Amino acid sequence: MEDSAIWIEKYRPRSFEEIKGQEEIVKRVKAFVVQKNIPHLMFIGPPGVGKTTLALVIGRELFKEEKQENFLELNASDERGIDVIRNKVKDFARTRSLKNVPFKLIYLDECDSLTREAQQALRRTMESYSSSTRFILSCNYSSKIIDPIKSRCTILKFRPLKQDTIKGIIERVAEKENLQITEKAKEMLINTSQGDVRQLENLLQSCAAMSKNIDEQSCSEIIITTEETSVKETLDLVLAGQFIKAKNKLLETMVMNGLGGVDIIKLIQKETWSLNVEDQMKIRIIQECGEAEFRMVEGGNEFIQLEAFLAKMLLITQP
Amino acid sequence: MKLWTDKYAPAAGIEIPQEEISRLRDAILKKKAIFLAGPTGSGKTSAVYTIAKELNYEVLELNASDVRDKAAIEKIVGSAGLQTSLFAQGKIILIDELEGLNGTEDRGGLITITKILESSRWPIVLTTNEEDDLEWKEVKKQTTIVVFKQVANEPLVDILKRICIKEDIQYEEMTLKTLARRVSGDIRAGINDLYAASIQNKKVDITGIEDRFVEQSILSALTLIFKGKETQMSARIFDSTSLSLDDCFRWVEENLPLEYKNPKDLAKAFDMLSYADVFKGRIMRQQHWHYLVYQNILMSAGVALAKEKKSIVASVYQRPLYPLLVWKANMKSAKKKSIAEKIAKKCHLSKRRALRLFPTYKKMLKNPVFQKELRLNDEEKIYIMS
Repeated sequence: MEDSAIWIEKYRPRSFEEIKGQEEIVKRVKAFVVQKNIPHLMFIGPPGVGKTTLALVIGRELFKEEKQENFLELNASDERGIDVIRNKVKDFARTRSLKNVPFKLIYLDECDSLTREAQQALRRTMESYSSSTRFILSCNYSSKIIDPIKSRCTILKFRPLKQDTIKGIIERVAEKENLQITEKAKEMLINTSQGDVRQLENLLQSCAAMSKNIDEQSCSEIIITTEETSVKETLDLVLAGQFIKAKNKLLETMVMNGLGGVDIIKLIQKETWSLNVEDQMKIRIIQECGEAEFRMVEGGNEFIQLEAFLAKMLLITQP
Repeated sequence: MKLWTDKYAPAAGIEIPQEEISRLRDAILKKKAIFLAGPTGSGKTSAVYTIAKELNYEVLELNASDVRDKAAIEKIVGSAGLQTSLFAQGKIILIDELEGLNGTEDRGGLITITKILESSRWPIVLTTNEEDDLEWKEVKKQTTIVVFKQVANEPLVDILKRICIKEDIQYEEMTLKTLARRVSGDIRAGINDLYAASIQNKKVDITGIEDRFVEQSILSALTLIFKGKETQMSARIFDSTSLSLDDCFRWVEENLPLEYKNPKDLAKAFDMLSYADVFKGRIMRQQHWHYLVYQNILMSAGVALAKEKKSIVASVYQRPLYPLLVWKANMKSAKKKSIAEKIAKKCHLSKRRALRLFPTYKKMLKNPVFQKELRLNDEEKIYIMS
């Protein structure tokens, strides 16, 4: 782990002190750990702000070398059915920990993707085994979590990292990796990552893979993905009234990049703001994005929904 | 208004030799399972319906436009096989277009059919136009085999003539003969072509109606949808093609933008297709077959009525290229998924999030050090470097 070449792992904070930008939360959690008694916790916040990192640090501080046996990390997004809660979680929770730790920890990431049934099952499990096992749940939106679970947890809200904090992280990585980054490029990285450290470090590493000297130019090449460029070209074709070319371009983009319909519609929605059309039209286009995404979820063939969207966009933008 | 192919469905005994019909009727009365083979449009389905009407039996039909996997067949045929009919004397379970069983979507379908043949209380009729396919070997062992022959040219011309008289359409004997010859015994295709040829001015005019080949049926269906604007356009237009409903969908999808140039028409027609697809999704997920009729109507009549005015410009239709591309995409995304899975494991991420962030990771992964750390195999490496 320590020598991972992937920066988000290499620079993942390993102690409370190293965690940046969440001082209030860290202070509180640290107090729990010192008491050796932590309640069930719920971490709420956008991606890349340190939820998983804090959970891993708690595990390390509590269990030291025995973390392996006493700390279970699960991703609810991959295993969101009720049987995961009934089997994996319950099996782990019901056995008492040996050694001199008072309880074991289960970290359940991306809880907002658990089904309602699974959440109901989880609620009972949390109650029944609280003497031997504590839970840390993490999610992006608490609205998808049922109230009985929320009421059993101490809720900690993570905020996106402030620009200064992000800048500090950039500079620290730059120093360690011997990178030269121009001020403009730093600004770009800060704006694109929007307080998400995972995103930031991934971008930074992609830039560094090309050159140790990172300027505005090389930075924007990384930030703007080929997908985004193709989607932009597609939309421009629609504006030019070239429907058939536009849909073929889009199909090609999906196929070449292995993108799903929802990925594409999200990209379109993002690109719409920078289109050269009236604001009124932009809103109508975005409304159609929403409709297309909704029908994709219900339908069987994602591409037809994209085609229908392009046709609507053509209708909206043609005089 | 009915589609002509329904209105003039072949009446048993006139177009199909009595002998075959009575063999079929006997088998049905004896509640046997029947394997009914014969070329497209030779009247297989019509014969079953005619006999059912005669005996006051109810027909329970499952055709290629329904998903026919194990679960669906067991649900529909399995339960019907055991229940008695409320209003009719009995039931015929008609599993139409056996060759339309789809390998992946209808997984387990054929095996289930084979099983149900033994246990059903009611006669089951299986139809196919591929009599000799080896796949049917097991099924054939358990069934009475009835084969319909291709309808000859003469009787077909007579049928067409009769329709012309009923519909008050002017015709020339020669033209009808040409029409009949082109469809080589396929009654349904003949009637469809006659409809397409006479739709404009009550006169049979076959210029523009091309010689039939395999895809011909879909082409004339497309012509009717894209050019016409009749309320006669019925949901069953696609049933007259030899393609599955999904394939028909692709044909409409591919050719729609070639045909509808006005953005208003285009948007409206695509909206119809989009809704048709939504219903298809509901069918797939919830196995609600009764939605099929909506899918069918929206993608035919819905598209036809989406345009402001009829078009008379002749067009050349294209074969859909989507299936090929999807296949390619699937191959790609399989690799992408397996790589994303490795990233997810390493970086405390869900697979879903790793997939979403994939473009950035792909750039990072060009570095061999990471490839090694993630233990990418050779194929995955090639994918990353491409």
